[in-house]
Amino acid sequence: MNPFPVSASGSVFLPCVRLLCVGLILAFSRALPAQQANSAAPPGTAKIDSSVSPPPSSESKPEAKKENENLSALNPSTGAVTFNGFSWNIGDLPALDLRYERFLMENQSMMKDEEAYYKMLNQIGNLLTGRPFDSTQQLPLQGRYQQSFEILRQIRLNPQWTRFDGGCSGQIMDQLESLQVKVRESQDLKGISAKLEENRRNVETQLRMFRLDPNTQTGSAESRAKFLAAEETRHAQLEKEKERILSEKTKYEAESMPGLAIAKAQFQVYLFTLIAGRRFQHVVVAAKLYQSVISDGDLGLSQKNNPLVKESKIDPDMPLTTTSAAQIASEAQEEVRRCVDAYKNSVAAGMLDAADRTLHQAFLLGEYMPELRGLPLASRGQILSVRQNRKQMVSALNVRDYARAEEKLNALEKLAPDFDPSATRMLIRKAKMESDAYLAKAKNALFDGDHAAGESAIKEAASIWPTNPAFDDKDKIAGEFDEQMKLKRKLDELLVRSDFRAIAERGEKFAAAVHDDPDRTKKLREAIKGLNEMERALAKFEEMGKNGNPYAAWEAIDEVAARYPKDEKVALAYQEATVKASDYIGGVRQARECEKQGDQVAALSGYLWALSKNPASEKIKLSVKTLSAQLLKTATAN
Amino acid sequence: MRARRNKKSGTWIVAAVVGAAVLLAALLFSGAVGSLLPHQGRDKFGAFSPDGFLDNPRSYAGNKYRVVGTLDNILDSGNTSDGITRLISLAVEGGKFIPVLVPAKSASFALQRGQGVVAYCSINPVGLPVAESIEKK
Repeated sequence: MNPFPVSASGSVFLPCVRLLCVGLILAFSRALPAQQANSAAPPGTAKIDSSVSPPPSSESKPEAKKENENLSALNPSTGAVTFNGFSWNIGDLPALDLRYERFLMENQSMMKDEEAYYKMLNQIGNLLTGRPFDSTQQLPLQGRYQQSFEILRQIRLNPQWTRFDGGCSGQIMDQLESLQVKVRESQDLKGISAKLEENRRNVETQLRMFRLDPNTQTGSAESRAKFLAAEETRHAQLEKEKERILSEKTKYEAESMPGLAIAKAQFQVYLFTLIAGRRFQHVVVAAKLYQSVISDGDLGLSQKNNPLVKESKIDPDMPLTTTSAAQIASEAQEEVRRCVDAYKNSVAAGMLDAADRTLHQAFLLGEYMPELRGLPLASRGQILSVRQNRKQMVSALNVRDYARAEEKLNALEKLAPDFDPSATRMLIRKAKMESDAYLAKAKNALFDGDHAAGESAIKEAASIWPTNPAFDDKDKIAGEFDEQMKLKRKLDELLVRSDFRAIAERGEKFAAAVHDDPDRTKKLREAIKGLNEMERALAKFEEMGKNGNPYAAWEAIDEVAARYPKDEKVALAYQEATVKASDYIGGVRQARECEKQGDQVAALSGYLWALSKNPASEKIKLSVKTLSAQLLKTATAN
Repeated sequence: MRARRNKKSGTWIVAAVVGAAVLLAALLFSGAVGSLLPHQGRDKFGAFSPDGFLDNPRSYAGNKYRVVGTLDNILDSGNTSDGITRLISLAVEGGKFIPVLVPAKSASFALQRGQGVVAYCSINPVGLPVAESIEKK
């Protein structure tokens, strides 16, 4: 199959010329991104990734492709803007967003300069719109072409406009000049070729005259032979001349045609570079200038098997001609105008959310179109405010700062009544409720002494809503842990000091704090039990004292005094009892000592004496009974 | 012949006197005689001093004392082959209390608290006075 067939517009190439042309175009096409980045691309133009590419979804969903054919759309995942089956990779979306916001903030005076620049471009378009002999135009086409070229030159040389132009006008001029040179060269070579063709025809006419029969010649045989030999020689010379002319003609044709074809191809590719840069006005101007220079139509570059098409990922159905480029640019401009109209209507209706989306779409497609430059700053400021609120809300949602997100959502609702907050509000409410539920669970767990569950619940709550205001009470939550640890440490300290009274004073708090600690719980219970013992002993001590029985009073306090010597109250009571019952204490202690030494008789005698002093003493009674039984048993055994 | 008869009758008299003396001695030293003579031999029970005794009762083991006091309480009692043995406490001089073991055969009357008694005791190896006899005071 022919890889580079002839286009419908009629240019004919020899196969070798076609191959050479394709190679050069490919090389040019590969060098395009770099070239664009360096000079051709206007400032702010997004870099081209493989120039153009069909939208990914349109391949699998032809219906969707048809449906979206006339809509420009941004694919946030790829950063590609699609319009009319033509995709631009506009590159860095955050950077584009920043440009959009800068556009929203730009003052009107800056825009006026830019508007003047766009008016100059429109002037070129108006000049080249008429037919060659249009009566509405004051100048003939050639004159209008010259005037257009002059306007481009002015733009190129004026720094005030080049900042908006991005060098596009200069590039168009260079391309056109190059094209003109190639056209002239081509015309010269065509003239030479025509002359050679005429010579060839003359030679062929002369050759046709050699159809003479030698038998018709008169004269001697010798003279006829000489005549025939001379004619043969001349015929051979004419054949040689014909061959030379054909060779020379082929050579000229081979020299002239590729140069022009390459110039045409370069120009057409440049047009699509301008489309990729969304310089639609330049595309229209350049296409019209091209048509003024080239009268024999476009170079056909669009075929499914064309290596350039495959390499550049251009939609194979898209014809890469100046006409198609101009058509795409015109349609894109029209789309931007429709978006701007829709934006104005939305602003008038107070639907700022829709206005923002429409304007953003218009900006993505027609960033360099004059229609966007005439928009008043006041409405753009409102859009900026909506946009910033939305961005801040999204940012807050991303970091799960739901309080701030809700604040921004409320502000957004006021600014843009057409904004639908329901989904966002539901998301915020759900997150808040979940976080609060986990916090409640944490508090319950802490109250129950389940620290592990409490900590886990707090982590969950924090992971859902890290900026939950309840965490501003973080001291409170952390304090619950701290308080618990403090209580534990305090309990340990009081236990070491055997200060059971201080323990009992904060008994409930200690009990809650050591709920999960069996060892401390046991010690706490023992402390409370000990305190109860002391209190009972002290009560009995006081009662016996009031009854005038110092011995019983001493006995009431003696045991707890031995067990809890650090308790002040018990110590004081014991001291008092010791003074009042010193003889009794001496007797009992002596009896105990004798009992320890195995002197049962002396011990029993001592206990009997003590019992006589304190007949109600159960302890002494028990000791007497025990010793008596032992002595009786020993004596009767013998 | 007559002188020879006189010599034989004198030997028989001396033997009879010696025999009677031995018999009397045996009777005097036997328990049977003691029982027959209640107040006989009480002199060998010395006076009891509680202070010294209670300092180290074991050291008095084997000694006999006449313990005079008031029956404070019957501390315990137990059946033995000859009756009920009791452990009593006697309130003695100096406000002391002395435990005394009263075997069944030693008490000839019903022991009652507050009774004044005299117990003739020997001290057993653990220092406990064991009443050989106990009398009302």
